[in-house]
Amino acid sequence: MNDQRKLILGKEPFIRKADSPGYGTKIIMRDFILSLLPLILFAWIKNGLLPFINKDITSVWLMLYPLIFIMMGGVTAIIVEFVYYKFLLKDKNIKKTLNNSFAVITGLLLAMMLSVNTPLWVLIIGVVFAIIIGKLLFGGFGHNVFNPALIGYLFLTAAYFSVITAGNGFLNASEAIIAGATPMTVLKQDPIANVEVLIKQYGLGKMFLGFVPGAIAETSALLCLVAMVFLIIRKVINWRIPAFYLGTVFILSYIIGAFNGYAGNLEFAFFSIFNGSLMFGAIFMATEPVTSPKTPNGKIIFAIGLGVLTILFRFKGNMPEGVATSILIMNLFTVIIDRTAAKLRVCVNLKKIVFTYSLIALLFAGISIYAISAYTTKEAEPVIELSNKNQDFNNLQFKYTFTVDGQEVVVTTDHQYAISQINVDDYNTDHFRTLFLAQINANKLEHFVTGIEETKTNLIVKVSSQGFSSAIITQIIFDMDNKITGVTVNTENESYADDYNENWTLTSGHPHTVLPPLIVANQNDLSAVNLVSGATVTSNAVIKAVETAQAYVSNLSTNNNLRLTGKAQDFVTLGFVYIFRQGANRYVVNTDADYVITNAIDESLRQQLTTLINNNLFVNYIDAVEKGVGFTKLTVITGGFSSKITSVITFDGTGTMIAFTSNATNESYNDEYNAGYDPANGNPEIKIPADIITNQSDLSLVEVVSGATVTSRSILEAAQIARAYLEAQNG
Amino acid sequence: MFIKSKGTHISEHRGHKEMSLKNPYVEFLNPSYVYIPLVEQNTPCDVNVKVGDLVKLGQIIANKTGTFCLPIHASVSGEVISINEKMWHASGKMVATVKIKNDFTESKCEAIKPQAFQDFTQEQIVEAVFNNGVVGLGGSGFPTYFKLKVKQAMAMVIINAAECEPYITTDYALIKDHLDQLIRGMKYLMKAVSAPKGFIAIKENKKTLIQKIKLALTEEPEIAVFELKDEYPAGWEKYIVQRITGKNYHSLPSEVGVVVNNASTAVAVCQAVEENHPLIEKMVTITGEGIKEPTNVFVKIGTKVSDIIEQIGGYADNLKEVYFIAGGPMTGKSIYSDQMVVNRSLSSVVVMPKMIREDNPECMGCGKCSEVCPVWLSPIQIKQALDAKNVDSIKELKADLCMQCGLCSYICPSRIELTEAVAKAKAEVLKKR
Repeated sequence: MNDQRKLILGKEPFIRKADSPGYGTKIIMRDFILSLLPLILFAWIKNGLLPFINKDITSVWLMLYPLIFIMMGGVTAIIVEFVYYKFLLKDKNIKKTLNNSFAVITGLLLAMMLSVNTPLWVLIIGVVFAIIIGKLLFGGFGHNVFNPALIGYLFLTAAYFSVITAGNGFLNASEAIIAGATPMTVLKQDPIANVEVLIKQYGLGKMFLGFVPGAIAETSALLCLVAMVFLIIRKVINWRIPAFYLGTVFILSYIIGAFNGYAGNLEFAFFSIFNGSLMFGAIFMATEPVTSPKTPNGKIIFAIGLGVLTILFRFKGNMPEGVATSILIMNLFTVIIDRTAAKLRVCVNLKKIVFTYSLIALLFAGISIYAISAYTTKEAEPVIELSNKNQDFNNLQFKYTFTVDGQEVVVTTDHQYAISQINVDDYNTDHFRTLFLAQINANKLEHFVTGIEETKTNLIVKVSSQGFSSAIITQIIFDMDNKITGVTVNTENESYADDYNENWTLTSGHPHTVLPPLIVANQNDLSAVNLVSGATVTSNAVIKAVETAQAYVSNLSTNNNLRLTGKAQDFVTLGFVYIFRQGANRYVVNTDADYVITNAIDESLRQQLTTLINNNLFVNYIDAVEKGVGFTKLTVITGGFSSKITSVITFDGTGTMIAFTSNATNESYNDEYNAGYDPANGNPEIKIPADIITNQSDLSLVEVVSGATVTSRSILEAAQIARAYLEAQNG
Repeated sequence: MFIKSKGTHISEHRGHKEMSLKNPYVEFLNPSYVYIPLVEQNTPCDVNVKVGDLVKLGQIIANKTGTFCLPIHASVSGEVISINEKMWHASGKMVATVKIKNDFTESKCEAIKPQAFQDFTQEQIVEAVFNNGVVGLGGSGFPTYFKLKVKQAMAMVIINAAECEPYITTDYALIKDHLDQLIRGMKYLMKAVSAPKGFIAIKENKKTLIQKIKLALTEEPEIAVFELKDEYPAGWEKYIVQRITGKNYHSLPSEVGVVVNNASTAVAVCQAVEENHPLIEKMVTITGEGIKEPTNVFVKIGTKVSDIIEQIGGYADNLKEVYFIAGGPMTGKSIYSDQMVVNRSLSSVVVMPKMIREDNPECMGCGKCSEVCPVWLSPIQIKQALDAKNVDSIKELKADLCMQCGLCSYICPSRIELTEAVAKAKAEVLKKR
C-alpha cells in the first residue's frame, strides 16, 4: 500500500480496554446506578407499598411517593446541570457535557438519604445546593473535593431539619404507629445501654434486612451488601474502602462492646454495622471515586480514618450524623493521603515507610482510644445515695436529696416524677438524670399534698397517700384556727372489701365512714385513732394523709411567697373573692364584677394583688341575676372549647329549673375538621339544656354529645353554678 | 517495592494471537533488496564497505561502536548499492541503511564455516555469540554476549518464552518447530555462565507447547518448565525473575545470579555456536486487522516490510485509518510509513485500525492506573504533577521507574493518555540528573 495517507501516527499503547463495549467510565457509572435499584425498590416497598397494604396510608400518591421522591432527585439534578451549562456557561455541546457529568447519581443518592416525610420542595432545594455548590462551582465532574450528595444532605439537615423531621420525621406511616423514634435517635441517649434495648425491640435480623425506621432507602444492610458484591465484581468500586471502613467500625465496636457486657458476643459489633446508614455510606458515598484516594494503600488509610471518625462521632460527639460528617472530613484529606501513599508505594527507604505508616497508625489509634476510653474504663460509677425525700410545702414539688461522692445534690421533681431542677450543674447531665430517676422511681413519695383550696372560712388540703392497692385521695378541712373540722376520703379503689379479705366485714365499717369522726376528735393525737380491722393499711394511709395535711398547715406561715390560695364568686355582689397568703398574712380580697379591688389596701400590695388577680380571672361565673316574683333568672358564662358560652337559666319559686337556653354559636364543634361530630347527634346548645332540665335531680345522667364533649360539659358546668347560687341563696 | 510483582489480565480472547497462527509460518528469504540498518540501539555503526562492493552472505559490513560493540553482517550476497539509504526504522525514525542488491546466490563468506567443536568451552560460546552478532530478539536488541560476560557463576538461566503482548506470536512460531535448538541453545547459555539450573518460562495457556517441551526435557534434568499466569506484563524480566526466584533485583538480573534470555535468542545462540551462523534472518509476525492474511514470516534482516506484506497477500480491503506499529500494541512505536526495514530487534508489525473515540470524560479518580502499574507507580498523580510542572513531585513519585508497559493507558476508563504523560515525566526526571 503506497497510500501513505491511511497510516496515522499515535502513541503507544494502541489498544485500550475502554475500546471494548463493556468497559468505560459511562459503563461504570451506569452499573453504579443499577446497583441502587434494589434499594430504591425496597424504599418503595417499605415506605409506600406495605403501609398502603396495611391501610396506614390510603392515597395512591402517598404510596408512590417514595418512588416519585427519589426520581425527582435524579431529574432535578439533571435539570440543574442543564441550566447551568447551557445558560450560564453557554456550552455548545450540552448533550456530551451532560452525558459525561453523571448528575443523576448525586440527585438519587441525596433523595435516598432523606426522610419519607420530606416535602419535594426541600429535596429540590437540597439537590440544587448539592449540584451547584458541591460540584459545579468546583469545576464540575472530576473536580469536586467533597461528595456533592453529602454536601446537600448536610445543608438540608442544618437549614431544614425541622421540616425533614416534621410530621412523623424519619418514620413512615406504619412505623409511626409502632415505634417512637429511629434507632439512631434512641441510641444517642445512651450509646451503650440502648443497644440492648434496640436489639430487643427490633432484632438484629430486622436491622439487617432493613425494616427499621430510618432514611427512605438507607436502612437495608442486606441490599447494600448485595450492591457491594455486584459493584466489586463489576470493578466499579474497589473492595478496600468498604472492607476497611466496615472492618474498622466492626472491630472498634466489638472492643467497646466487650468492655460493656458483650465480650465474646458479636451482637454489639453487628449492631454498629447494620445501623446508622453505615453500610450505605461505606458502599455508595465513601467510595465516590472523585473524592476518595486513587492509590490502593491510600484507600486503606482513608477507610480506616473513616472508621475511626465514625466511632468518634457516635460515642463521643453530639453530632446527629456520624457517617456523613466523617466522610466529608476525610474528603478533605484525600489529596494529602494520595500524595503520601503514592510516594510510599515507590519508596525504597524501608525506614521511611515504616515510620510514615506507624505515624498514621498512631494517629488513628490515638483517636480511637480517645473515643472509646469513656466506655472501656469501668470507672467506678459515682456512688449515689438517697438521703432524704420529702415534699416542699412552699411549692408542693418533691425534693430528693442525694449524696453523690460526698456532695449533696437536691433533685426537684413534679408530681409525675419528672425532674424539674437539679441544684448542682455538674450533675445535671443525661447520665446522672438517668441514675437519679432510677432511684427516685424506686422511692416514690407515699403521701403528699396534691393541692389546696381556700374559702373565706375554710382551708381544704388534698392529700394523696399510698393505700393497700391504690392511691387514696383525702380532703382535710381546716378552719381558720387550723383545726380540722372535716375529713372526706375516697377509698373506692382499695380492695379491703374483696372476697378474699376475710378480716374485713361490714361490721368493721368502711374506713371512709368510720375514720373521719375519729380523726376530728383525736386530731391532736392521731395515734389514738383505732384502725379499721381488716383494712389497717387503708386506715393508716388515711391517717398518714391527715398528718401530712397538718404538717402542711403548720408550714403555711413560713411560706413567704405571695400566692393565691382560693377564689370564689360572691353571689351577693356578683363580684369575686380572692384569698391570698403570704407568710403569716392572709388577705381576703373582694373585687367587683370587673375585677377591681374594693378593699382598702396599700398601693404596692394592691399592685401585686391586681397582677395575680388578672392572671386568675374566672372562666365560669354568673354574669347577671334577675329576680322576680316566683322566678329567678340567671345568666351564666362558661368557657367552652374555643369560646364563651352564655346560658340563661330560669328557676321557679321552688328552685326547679324551668327554662334553659345556651348560646354556643362561637363553638367550633361543627367545623369541618372535627370529624367526630355528626349533626345527627344533635345540637349541644339545644340538646344539653333540654337534658339538664329533664335530669335536674341527677345531672350525672346527662350524656355529652359526642364530638362536642367540651361544649357539652361547659353547659353542664353552667347548670352546676346556677345550682350553687340557688343553694347559697337558700341556705 | 517489597511486595510481589503483579500483572493484569488483558483480554487475549479476541483472537489477537490466533489471528497470526491460523497458518504455519511462511518463509520469505529472497527479497530483491535488503537494507541493513546502520543504527542499533540508537548507536551509529561504522561501515566497512563502500558502494559497488560485492559482499557475501554473512560478511561483516559494519561494526556497532561503543561499549556494546557488535559486528553487523550482510544478510544476502550481492552488490552494495548504497551505504546511506534512508529507511524507516523500528525506533520511529529514519536511519541510514546499507542497500544491497540480492544476487540470489546465497554464497556464504569464509567466516561462516561451522566449527567442529565437540565440547564448547565457556569462552568459545561467548566468542561465537559475539562473532555472530546475536542480540536479544525479544525486542531489546541488546548484545547477548555482553550478558554472558559475568564475573561469577550464575545460579540459573531463564528462557523468556512468555510473549505477553497481544498479537505477537513470533517466539511461539519459532520454538514450536525448533524446540531442540532452543534446548541446546539454552544449555550453551547455561554453560557460558556456569549455571547449574535452567527454566523455560512460558504462559500456562499454551498447553500443547508445554507438553511438547516437557517431553523434550525428559532427558534434561537441570531444565524445567515454569508456567506463568496469563497476564501482562508476564514477559517483563523483573516479573519473571521475581516469580521464579522470589528475589528482586535493582537493575540487572545478574545481581541475583540470574541470566534471562528470550526464547528466539536461545535458538539464535544455538545456531551461532554450532553452525557459526550469523544473525541474518528472523521470525517476524505480520498481523493485525489491517493485514489480509496475518501470519509469521521468516525473513532476512533488512527486508522491507512493505515487500513482506505484499508477499503475504497485502493489506486488508476497505482499509480505513490504521496504525502501523513496529512492535506490539502495548509498547510498540507507530511508524509513519510502511517503507520500514526489518532490523534485528523487530519482532512484529501490527497494522490495526484506530478505534473511533467518542469524547471522553474527565478522570473519575477510580485509581485503576495505580492498581495496575507493575512498578507501583501512580500514573494519574504523575500526570497531574507534570501538568503542574512540579518536577520535585515527579521525582518523589519515581516516574523514572516506569517501564513503559502501557497498562495505565490501557486500563483507564476515561482513556486518559497516561503512558505518554509518564514517559514525558520520566524524561523530565532523567534530564535533570
